[in-house]
Amino acid sequence: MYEIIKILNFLIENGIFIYAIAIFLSYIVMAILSGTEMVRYMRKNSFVDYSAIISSPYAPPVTILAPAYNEGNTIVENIRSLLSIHYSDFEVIVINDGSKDDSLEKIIAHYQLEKVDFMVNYVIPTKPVRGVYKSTNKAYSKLLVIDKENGGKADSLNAGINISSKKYFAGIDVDCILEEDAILKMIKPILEESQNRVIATGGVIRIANSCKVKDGKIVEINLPKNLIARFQVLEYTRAFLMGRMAWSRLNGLLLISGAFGVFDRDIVIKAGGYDSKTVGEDMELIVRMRRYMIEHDLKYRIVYIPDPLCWTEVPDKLRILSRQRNRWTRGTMETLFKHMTLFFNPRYGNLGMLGHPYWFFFEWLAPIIETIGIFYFLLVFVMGNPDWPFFFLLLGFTYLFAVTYSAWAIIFEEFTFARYRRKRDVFRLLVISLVEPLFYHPLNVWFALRGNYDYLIGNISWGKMEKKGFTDKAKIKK
Amino acid sequence: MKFSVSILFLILLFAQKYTSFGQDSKGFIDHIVRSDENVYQISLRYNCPIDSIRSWNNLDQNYKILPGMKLMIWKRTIIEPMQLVSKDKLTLDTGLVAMQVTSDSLKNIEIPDSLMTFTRNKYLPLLSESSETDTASSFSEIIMHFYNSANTLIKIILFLNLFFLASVISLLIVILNRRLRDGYIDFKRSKCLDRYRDFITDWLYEEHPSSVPESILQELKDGVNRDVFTSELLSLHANLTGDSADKLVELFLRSGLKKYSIRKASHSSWNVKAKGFRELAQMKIEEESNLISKFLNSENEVLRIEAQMAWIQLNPKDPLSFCDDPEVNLTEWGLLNSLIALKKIDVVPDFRRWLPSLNKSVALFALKMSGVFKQFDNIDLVTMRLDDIDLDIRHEAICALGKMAVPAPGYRLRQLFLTEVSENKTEILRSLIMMSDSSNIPFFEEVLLSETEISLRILSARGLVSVDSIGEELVNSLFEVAGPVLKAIIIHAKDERI
Repeated sequence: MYEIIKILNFLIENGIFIYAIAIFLSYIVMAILSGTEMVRYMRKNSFVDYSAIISSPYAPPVTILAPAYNEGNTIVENIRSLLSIHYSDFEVIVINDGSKDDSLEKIIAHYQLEKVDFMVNYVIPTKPVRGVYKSTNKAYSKLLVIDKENGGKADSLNAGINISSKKYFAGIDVDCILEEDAILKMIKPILEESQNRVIATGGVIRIANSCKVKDGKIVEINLPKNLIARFQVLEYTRAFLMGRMAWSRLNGLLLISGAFGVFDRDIVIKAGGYDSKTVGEDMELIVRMRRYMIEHDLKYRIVYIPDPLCWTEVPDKLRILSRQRNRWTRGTMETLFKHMTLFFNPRYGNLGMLGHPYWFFFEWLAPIIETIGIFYFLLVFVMGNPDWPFFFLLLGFTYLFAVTYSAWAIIFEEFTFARYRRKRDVFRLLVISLVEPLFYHPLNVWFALRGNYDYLIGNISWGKMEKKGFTDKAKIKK
Repeated sequence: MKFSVSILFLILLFAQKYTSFGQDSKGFIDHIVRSDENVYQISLRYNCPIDSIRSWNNLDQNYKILPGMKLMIWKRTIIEPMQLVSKDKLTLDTGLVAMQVTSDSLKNIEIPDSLMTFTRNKYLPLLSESSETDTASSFSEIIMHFYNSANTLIKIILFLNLFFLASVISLLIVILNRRLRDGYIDFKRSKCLDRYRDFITDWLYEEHPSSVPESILQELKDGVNRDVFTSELLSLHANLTGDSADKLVELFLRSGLKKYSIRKASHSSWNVKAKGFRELAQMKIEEESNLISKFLNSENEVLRIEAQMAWIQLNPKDPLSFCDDPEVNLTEWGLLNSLIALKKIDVVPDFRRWLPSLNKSVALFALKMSGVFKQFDNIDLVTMRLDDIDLDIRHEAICALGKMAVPAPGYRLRQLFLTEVSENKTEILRSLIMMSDSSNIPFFEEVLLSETEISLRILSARGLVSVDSIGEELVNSLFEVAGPVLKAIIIHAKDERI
């Protein structure tokens, strides 16, 4: 028995030691990479006049796909916001995914829609489309509404892809608020590449809680009043400005958030469209598109731009946050295990050697290893004699590392877009970064563990996200 | 988003690396036996059983230790002496009591009597020796002692901790400082902006402006003021043409801003350089175009594009001469900007010169522009490029012919359709629809009836409907005998709302 414990002890100690060093180093490398990339991007961007794209023959046509499920109380407002986007050749396709509320009736009434004789070509198989609607009013000629049987978000997007006819499509959550020049900014990287085909671009998601919204536009940016949402501001800033930017530089980006991304329609169709069986369809699609390009020896890039383009309401209740994180964990696991052939497979370049293993070890395994660590420590605490000074030193190290990393993310934000103009907000964010590792982080670990558990027992329910409507929000503000 | 920093507590795992739980060689240190030491003293010093010292060093029952001998000691006890021989224990005047106190913590050790008596005499020197370093009374000395007795790993971590702490504080200061500086610059800007704006407008309305007042010239020596003045002047200039624009150029020259722009254009960092190019181009400083020409095919895309835009504006007679370079690298983004520059000088070059280009990006540009500007004279060269082996070039040629909407090359397009890939097939149908030529009717009909891809069939049906009344009649007659799929296609194609 003692021998077994000794071997186990040896394995855990040395394995964990290497793991911890690797994770710290990877964070440092990413911070440096994204830092240099950000500086370059900001300098480059100071020369850009985005409005030039609108009138140019080089602006490619874009479809905006917005799946909606039971969004009745905000849908009319949200569609108006989508239609007011700055772009020349675009259409908005709203997909009503068999809503149980009065979404469809509201849209039909407000936008004067009528059914058209659309021949739906099911290039990607989806649930049947019940009808396609267009407006009789010329002012809404860019709007097209699809009514289909309920099949989930991925299925709705697939239906939209089937019906859209433009070269690129932007998938967005209908309750997101897009900045007016969002599409212009997302299209630019596509125009910039001449050697590689840009098959997808991703943008930053920002948090709209407590922001003032008027006529479908953000008019005043505030730090959320709710503490849980405030923690997520820090989390998102860190993830988007520090993480994604570095991965984009390495062309190893594995995830473009489902809330906002522009995709090459042709490649998406060839890769098979969104997978409606997974809960993490956004990540799964990117991995599959990458695989398609590599397996067909096509040169490609997936780009990410750090501009804040899309604002969304995040969960401000623990219960809902828990469901969301649970779903993310399951989505990650499904994608990782489905594409296990990539794992350290040199044929797939950065995707196989860096991206997939990174997600495997540092995204999926991290919370698990952390938990094992805590239990192991408790065991040592009970049975042995922990070296307390050393323990506190390491605890301090970990804590300070986390805080410093967050502080750097805040600095990045401050030196680039500085969306939180009030000094108070920035210092509040710094305070949040001090308490985050103690309260918010353990919660996240717990949610991730629950996700793992649910994955194992095969619970694949969607974890419906409850969001407050923006119109309600605006009313509350007044 | 799924990117949580899952690092906290993780590292706790190896916090117990130095506990008694496991023993591996990494946990050992060497102790060199001094002449006045025995095993028992060593065991006290490191707070470990005598038996353990024996077993760690593979010594047999009747072992002896000699001065200078190297003993391996398990490390967890390294900081223990300080705790053991603490100050209050030192106040006890008999070594024996002190020894008993300490031996309480070494419960399971059997101490031979002979050893006990032996140590009693020798015990005090050990204590007094330790007391030299361990009479730590102040906090800082305790820390120093801890630091000195710590091993390298602990030292590194301690150092990193301090580093992180310092960096968090300095980041805070950086943010504060930046906010203050921004506030100051904004204040400075707003102070001079209105004045400069008035001055520039006055300059515009004066019939024969004489010279720039000395006071303004003095102010422009300051970087911030100059930036405000230059950007104000340039943004006003961008919206003006003719005489007023020339007047602003005059002002630019007289206020001595030219030398600063040239300085920018020769700056070593690319972003300043690009800004300089932009200013020189807008102010039409033609004599400096040599400065720009070196960067027309620069590796740096922003610099390259700015240089090309500047070149176009400074050489209105032959603006696109850089396209002659077979190595030139043009991106769509760059071309988009070149078009804007062309629009500024209001010149549309004949793209015939670059249509046969071997450089793919140049050829694509020429094809697209021939279509956009409807340069009908170039149809022959555009049609020739339909035979290109490159898919993208064929695609662009098809599009260009569609934009020109001249029926003549329709035959070549219909022929090409048979061998093309599916993306280009779609484009061919679109171009043919735009030509709205009745000679396409049989072709559309064939595609509608024999193709398998539904999107192509819908397009061809649309082609029939849009061409003229004969086409529409044909569609109607087909509808009478059609199966369900064809019917749906025809209804879709005829629905003008889609």
